[in-house]
Amino acid sequence: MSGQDDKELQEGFRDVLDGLSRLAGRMRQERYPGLAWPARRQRRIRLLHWPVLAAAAAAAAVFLAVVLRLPHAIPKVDQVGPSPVASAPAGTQEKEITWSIPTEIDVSVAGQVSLEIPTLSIPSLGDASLEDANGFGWAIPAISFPSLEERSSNHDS
Amino acid sequence: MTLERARVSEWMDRASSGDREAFSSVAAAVQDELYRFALGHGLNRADAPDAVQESLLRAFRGLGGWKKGADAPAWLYGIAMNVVREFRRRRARDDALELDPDALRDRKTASASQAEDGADDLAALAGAVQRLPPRQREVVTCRFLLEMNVRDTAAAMGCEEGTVKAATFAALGNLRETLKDGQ
Repeated sequence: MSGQDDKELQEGFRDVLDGLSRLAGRMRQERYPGLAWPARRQRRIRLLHWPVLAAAAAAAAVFLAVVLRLPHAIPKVDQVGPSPVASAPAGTQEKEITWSIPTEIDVSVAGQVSLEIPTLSIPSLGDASLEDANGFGWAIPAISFPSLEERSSNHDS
Repeated sequence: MTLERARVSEWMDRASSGDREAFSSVAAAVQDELYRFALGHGLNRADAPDAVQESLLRAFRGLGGWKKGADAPAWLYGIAMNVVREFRRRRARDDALELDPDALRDRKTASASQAEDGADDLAALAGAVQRLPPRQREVVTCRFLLEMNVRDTAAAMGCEEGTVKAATFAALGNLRETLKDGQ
């Protein structure tokens, strides 16, 4: 702080600065207890950590239940008697459903079925005309598909 | 700061080059200053030594980032300020002893000489310092209790020197008002 600032402070806050000076004198007497280096970090295990406590309590309860075999803690699997979910509630009407399953099914094929798929062949690139004024195009020859009558007559013969 | 700044900075230069003994020398030279720094900023006697060790540990780990020729005390004050702020946030201040108003009041009855010292007034003043807004409290502590200059205070607080000056005037004004109200 510049000398001017110091002067302003001294003049304006002399009373407060006197008190702070005495506090500073107290502070100057303080010394670090021992040696700070090398640092010996104190490891503090935080026991009052609620999730840890809850997990430990749960683990202890399970352990005790297993070791001491508390009767109410272990379910009996060989218990004799009606299961609570097996009995229907009172007043429930039961209805028997009968299924009729056909047993006379003839799976033999009655006739021969033929399937024909017409094929389309695309000419190779050698037949393409690149010098066409309208641009690139395929020279595809005319394809004639046989009519349905012709196909059936050929199949019958 | 009463320690020899140039020598400490020179040790820090050597420590950054791998000289561990040099860092031990730095620690021995600054440990009392850092302890007063921690106490002055409101840590109690149980936390203040831990804060000093934590500050030194961080300085040691940060040696790789140390720029040779820099001012070591200012750098260390910056580290210590961060540590002190973390400690204050983590634990409520319960016993700052020297600055604790009750502790100062108790000392008044300890001896006649201290009673003449006006310990009651000091207790009131220490309490008023602790009740200042954080920035003003840090400024007053650094400037007047730890007797640091404006440059070191600004370096420790991570702010401009102008901010320190403005906060100083505001803090002293607040302290005066508080003490007047208390009378």
